[in-house]
Amino acid sequence: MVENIRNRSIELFKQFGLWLIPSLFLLVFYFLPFGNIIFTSISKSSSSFFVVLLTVLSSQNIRQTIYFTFYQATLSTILTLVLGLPSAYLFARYDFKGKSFIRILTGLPFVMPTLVVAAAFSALIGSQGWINTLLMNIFNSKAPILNLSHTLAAILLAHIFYNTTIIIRIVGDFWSRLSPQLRSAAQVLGANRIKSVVFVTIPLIMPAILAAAILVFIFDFTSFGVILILGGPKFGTMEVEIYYQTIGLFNLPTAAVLSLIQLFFTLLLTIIYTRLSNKISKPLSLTSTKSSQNKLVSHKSKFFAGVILLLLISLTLLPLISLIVKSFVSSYYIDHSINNHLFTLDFYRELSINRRQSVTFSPPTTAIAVSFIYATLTVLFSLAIGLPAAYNFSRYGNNKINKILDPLLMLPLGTSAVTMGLGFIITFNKSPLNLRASPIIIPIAHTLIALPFVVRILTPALRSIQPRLKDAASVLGASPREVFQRIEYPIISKAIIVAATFAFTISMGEFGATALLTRPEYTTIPVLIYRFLSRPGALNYGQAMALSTLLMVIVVIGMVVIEKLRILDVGEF
Amino acid sequence: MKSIRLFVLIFSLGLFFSSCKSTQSKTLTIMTHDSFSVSDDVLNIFQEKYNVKVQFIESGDSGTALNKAILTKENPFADVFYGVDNTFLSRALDENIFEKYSSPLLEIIPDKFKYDPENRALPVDFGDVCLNYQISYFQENNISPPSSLEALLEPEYKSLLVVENPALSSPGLAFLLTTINHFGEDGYLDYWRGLVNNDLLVANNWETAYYTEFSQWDGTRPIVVSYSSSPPFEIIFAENPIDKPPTAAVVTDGTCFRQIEFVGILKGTKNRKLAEKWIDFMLSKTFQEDMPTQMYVFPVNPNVELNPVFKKYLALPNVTAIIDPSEIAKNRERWINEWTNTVLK
Amino acid sequence: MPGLQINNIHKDFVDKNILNGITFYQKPGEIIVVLGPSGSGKSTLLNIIAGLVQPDKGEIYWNRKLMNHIPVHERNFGLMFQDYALFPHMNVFDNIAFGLRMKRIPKDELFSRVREIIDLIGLNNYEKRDINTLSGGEKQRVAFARSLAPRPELLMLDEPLGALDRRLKDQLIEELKGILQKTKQTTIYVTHDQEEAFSLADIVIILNHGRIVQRDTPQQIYQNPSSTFVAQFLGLNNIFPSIINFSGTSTIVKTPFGEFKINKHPRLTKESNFVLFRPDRFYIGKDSKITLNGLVIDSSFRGNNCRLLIKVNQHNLALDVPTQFMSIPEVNKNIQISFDPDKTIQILTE
Repeated sequence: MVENIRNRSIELFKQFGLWLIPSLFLLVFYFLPFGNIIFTSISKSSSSFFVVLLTVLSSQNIRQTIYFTFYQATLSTILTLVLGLPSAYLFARYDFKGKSFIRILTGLPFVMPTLVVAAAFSALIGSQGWINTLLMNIFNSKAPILNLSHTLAAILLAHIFYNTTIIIRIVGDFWSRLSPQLRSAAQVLGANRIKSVVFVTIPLIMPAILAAAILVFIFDFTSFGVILILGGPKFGTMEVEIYYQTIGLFNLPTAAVLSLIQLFFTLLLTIIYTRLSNKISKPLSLTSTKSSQNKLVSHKSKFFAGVILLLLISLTLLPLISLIVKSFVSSYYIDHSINNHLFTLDFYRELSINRRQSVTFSPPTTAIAVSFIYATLTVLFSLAIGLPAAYNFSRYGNNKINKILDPLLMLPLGTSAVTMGLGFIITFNKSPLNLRASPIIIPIAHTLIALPFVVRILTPALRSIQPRLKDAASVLGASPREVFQRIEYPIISKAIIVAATFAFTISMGEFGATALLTRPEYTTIPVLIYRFLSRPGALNYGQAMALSTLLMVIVVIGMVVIEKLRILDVGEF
Repeated sequence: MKSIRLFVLIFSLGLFFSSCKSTQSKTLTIMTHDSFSVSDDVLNIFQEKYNVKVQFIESGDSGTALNKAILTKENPFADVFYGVDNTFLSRALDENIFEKYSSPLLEIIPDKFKYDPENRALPVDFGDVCLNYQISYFQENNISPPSSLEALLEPEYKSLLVVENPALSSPGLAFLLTTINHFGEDGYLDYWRGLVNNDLLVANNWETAYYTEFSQWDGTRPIVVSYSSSPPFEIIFAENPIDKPPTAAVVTDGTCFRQIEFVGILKGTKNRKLAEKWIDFMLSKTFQEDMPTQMYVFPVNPNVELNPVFKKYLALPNVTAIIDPSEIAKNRERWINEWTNTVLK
Repeated sequence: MPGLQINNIHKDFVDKNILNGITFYQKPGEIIVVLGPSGSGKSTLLNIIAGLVQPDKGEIYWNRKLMNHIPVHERNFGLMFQDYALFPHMNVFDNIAFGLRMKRIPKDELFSRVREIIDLIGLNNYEKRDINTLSGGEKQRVAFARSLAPRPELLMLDEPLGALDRRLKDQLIEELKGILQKTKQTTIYVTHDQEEAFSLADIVIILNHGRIVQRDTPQQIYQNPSSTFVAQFLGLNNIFPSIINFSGTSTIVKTPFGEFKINKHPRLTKESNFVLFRPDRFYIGKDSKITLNGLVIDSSFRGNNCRLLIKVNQHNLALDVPTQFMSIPEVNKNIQISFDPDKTIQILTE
C-alpha cells in the first residue's frame, strides 16, 4: 500500500510539472488581465452585476445579436467543412505535382488583414469587380449581376476563405497518417465506398475533425473584421457589439457582461468538445504518409481533384491574386480616365521612401523584420507552452485538473479582443510585470491566440501514438526525455510543423492585439497596411496592396522554411 | 527540453529589456492614436533642445486610445495624451484624466477652438468632416454636385451617397451630428428616412466607405462622407504628379462638422515640466506647420502658413456644425440608437 | 544467488485482481516459459519485471539487487511486444540500433553489432527498408533483433509468435531456440501455446488467475499435471470426479469406470478428488492389466496418432493411439480397450 501511494505521488508530481507551465501562463496572461478588466468594468456600474446582466439579456437587440452570432458561425462552420473535408482528403490521400505549394498557398488567407481581404473581394466580386465585369459582358447587362456587398453570403464566403486552411491542415495531416488498410478492411467486409468512409474513416478521424471544427466555429463566433467590413452595418456579432459598447459608448459594465456571455458560450462549447474528444480519441497505428498516398491515375480521381482544386483556387486564391494584380496596376487604369501605364512598380518603390520625413515611418524591411521576430517568438512561446499542455492532455486526459485546464486553454480565442486589450493595459503596469509598453507583450498576446491551435493540433497527434512504442523505447534503455526526443517528437513532428505554421501565420497576420500597443519603431506589416489604408490617395492605396503582396511572399517563405527545418531535423515521416 | 530553456531565456531578456526602458529618466512618453505622425526634423528640434527622448505609444483608434488613458488613470502610462476630439472630450473631462495647464501659447489661439475653460484639454488641430465627391462623375453625367444636405434627397442624387456608421466610425458620427445640428432633434430622423428612400448606402468605417464604396476607388458611389482635406491628399499622394484633384469637398455652410483634437497632461506624470514644454511645442509654429502633411489636420495657431498644395486645393468651410461636447456625451447613445432604428432596420 | 528472484508479487487493476502472490526464481541462462490462458496475468507479470508497471506488493531482485525502484530504462532488460511496437518513423537498421544508441555505444561497435544481429536473424539487405512495408514474419524478426541487440541481461518475449501462421511459427521457434541457446540468453517467454512452451522451455511456469499453478520442466509438467486446470490446459481431457481412499502403500480410486488400486501418488492431498485417465496410455485390445468394453463414437486422424472417442459406461473417454502399427477402428463399432492403472490413472486436485 505504501508503495502504491508513493508511485501515485510520483505520477502526480510528473503531471504537476507539465501542468504548471501552461497553467501559469494562462493565469498570468489571461485570467489576471481578463478578471481585472471585468471586475473594473462592473465596478464602474452603479447597479449590481445581476441587474446589468438582466438589462443586457432583456434587450431585444442584444438577443438578436446573440442569435445572429450563433447562426452565422454555425452556417460558416458547416460550409467550411463542406469545402475543407474533401480538400483534406485530396491532400491526405493523393500525391500530385505542386501539391505542397498549393497547400502552403491555401494557408495564406489566414494572415491577410480584413481590410485587405475586403479590397480583394471587391476587386473580384464587387459591383465593378472582374467577375461582374465578365458576367456583364456575357449577359450584355449594364447593371452588376452579382451583388454580394453587405450580404450574409459575403460573410460566409469570407469565413470560408479564411478558415478552410484550418480544416485542410488539421484534418489533412491526421488523415494522411491513417492506414488506408482500415478502410480497405471495411470494404472487404462489404461496405461500399461511401459506407466505408462513413463508418470507418470518419469515426477514426473524428477527433481531428472536431478539433478543427471547434476552432473554426470559435473564430467565426468571435468574428469582427469580416462582419464589420464585408457584412456591413446591418449585421452585428457580439464582438462588434462589445466594441461599440466599449469604444463608442464607454459603457464598460454592459461590455463586460457581453464579454462574459460570449465567454460562457465558448466555454460551454469547449467543454462539450473536450468531453467528446476524450471519448472518441483512440491510439491508432499510423503509417508514414508515403505508404498512404496514391497518384492521381483514374479518371474519377482526376475529376475529383480537378473539382476540388478549382473550388479551392477560386475561393481562396483568386481573391489573393486580385490583390497582387492591384499592387502592380497603375491607379490611372483603375481611374478609367487614362489608359496608358498599365504595369507599375511605383507602389513597391514608394514603400521605402519616407516622403513625409515622419517619425512613424517604417521602411518595409523594418516592418518585415519586426513581424518576423514577433512570429518567431510566438512560435517558440506557443510550442514551449503548448507541448507540455498537449503532452499532459494526451497522457492524463481523464485527470480532473486536465478536464478543467483543457477547455480553459481555448478561452483566449473566444474572448473579445477589445476587452482583452484593455485588460492587458490595466494589469501589466506594475513591476515585476510592467510590460505594457514593452514589445514582448505582443508575442505574448499572439501566443494566447496561437496556443489553442497548438494544443488542439498536438493533443490528437500525441494521443494517437501507441503507448507500446514508448514502453518499447524505455525497455531499450531510453530515458523519459529520450523517449520524447526520439519517439514522440519525431512521430508528431508533422503535427508540430502544422502547429508552428499556425502560430507563425497567426502572429504574422494579427492586427487587433498588435495595434493596441504599437510603438512606431516596432510596427508590423499588418499595422503598416492599415496605416496606409486609413489615408486617402492613390499611393497610399497602392502601397497597401504592395505590402499585402509582400506579406504573402514573406508568409510563404516562412512556411517553406518551417517545412524545410523539419526535414533536416528528423527525416521524412 | 531545449525550447523551454530558450523560452525562459527570451522571457527574462524581455523583462530585462522592458525594465531597462522604464528606468531611463529622460524619456517623455506621449500616448496617442494610430493616426499620429510628426516629421523627424521637427521632433528632433524638441529632443535636442530639452535633451530628452520622446517615446510615442499608439494605442488604437482615437476612442480606444482614450479608453486606455481613462482606465490607466490611477497609474498612467504616459505623461501626455494627445488625440481626444470634441466628440469624446466630455468623457475625458468627466473622468478627470488631465492636469490643468494654461500654456502661454493659448493666447494666440482663437476662442472658437477652446472647449475647456479650465484648460485641462488644449486644442491642437482641427479637421472638417464634409461630403466629398468624384468630380468626373458629375462632369460626365452633367449634374451639379450637391450643395446642401437637403439636395441629397433629390432624385438626381439617388443611389449616389455612401456614409459611415456613426456607431463605429468617427466621421460617421460627425455627419450624424451635422444633420442633427441642421435639422434639429425633431427633424433629423425624417431627413435620414429621406436619405434611405433615396437609396443611401452605409459602410461601417471610413476605410470601407472610401476605398470600397466610393467610385473614385473600387466602388459605385460618387459621394462619400470624408474630410475636407481628402482632395488635397489625392494630389499629394497621387501616383504620378497631377495638377488637379480628382475629388472635391462640399463646404457650404452647415454641411461640415469640425473635429477639434486636444492634448493634455496626464494626471500623475512625473515629468510635469517636460510635459508642459511638449504642449507648448505642439502649439508652436514649428509643430503646427508640420501637422497638415503628417496627419491631414489643420493648425489652430493662426500664424501658421499652409503648404502651397493646401492653399490651392483646400476648401475650408466658413460655418460648421457646432454641438457642445457635453450635449454629445449626454445624447450620443440615444441619437445612435434612434439613427440605427431608422436607417438600418 | 545470481539471476532473477521474484517475490510475492501482487497487482490489482481498478477492481480486478491480476497477480496474486507470484514467486519464482530463474537461473542465469535459463529459458523460462510462462504458459497460461489469456487473462491469466502473463503480460502484466512481464510488464512488472520490465518496470513498465509497478507492483502493488512484492519485490523483484536481479543478481540480488532490488529492482523495484530502478526506472525501466536503467534495468537493462529486453522486452519484445506481442504487437512488435516497431517505431514507424525509423527503418529496420534504426529500429535495431535504437537500444545500442541509448547505451551510447560507439559508432563502429554499433554498426558491427547491428550487422551481426541482422546476420543472425537472416534479414540481410533489409537495413534501409521502411518498417511499414515489412511482412508479419519480417516484423517479428526485426522486433526480436531489436530486443536482442543491446545484449539485455534478461530478455522477455511476450507472445512473440502470436500472430504468425503455424508453419512460420515452427520455423521461427527453432531459430529462436538456437539463438537463445547459443547466446546463453536468460529468457522469459510468455505464450498460451503449449507446443511453443514445451519446445523452448527449460522450465515451464503455468499461470492461472494470477497464481502459479505449476512450475517444472516441460517433461514433468506433461507427465504429472498437478491440477485439473493444468491437465485440461495441456489437452488431457479424461478427467472424472472420484472418491479416493488411502490404504497403506496403495490408494483406491473409485471412478465411473470402476474401482482401481494404484501406487501411492506423490501429489496426493486431502483435496484430491479427481482422476485423469491419460489418453496416450491406452491400448486397443486387452493386452494390458484392465480391460473395458466401449463403443467408438468418433475418430479423428492426427498424423502419427489418432484420437478416438469411446463411450464406456455412459461416459466418454478420449484415447490417443499410435496409427503406424494398426488400422483405425471404425465408428459405431464395439471395441475393447485396456490400460495399466499405475501408468494411466493420475490423481488431480481441482
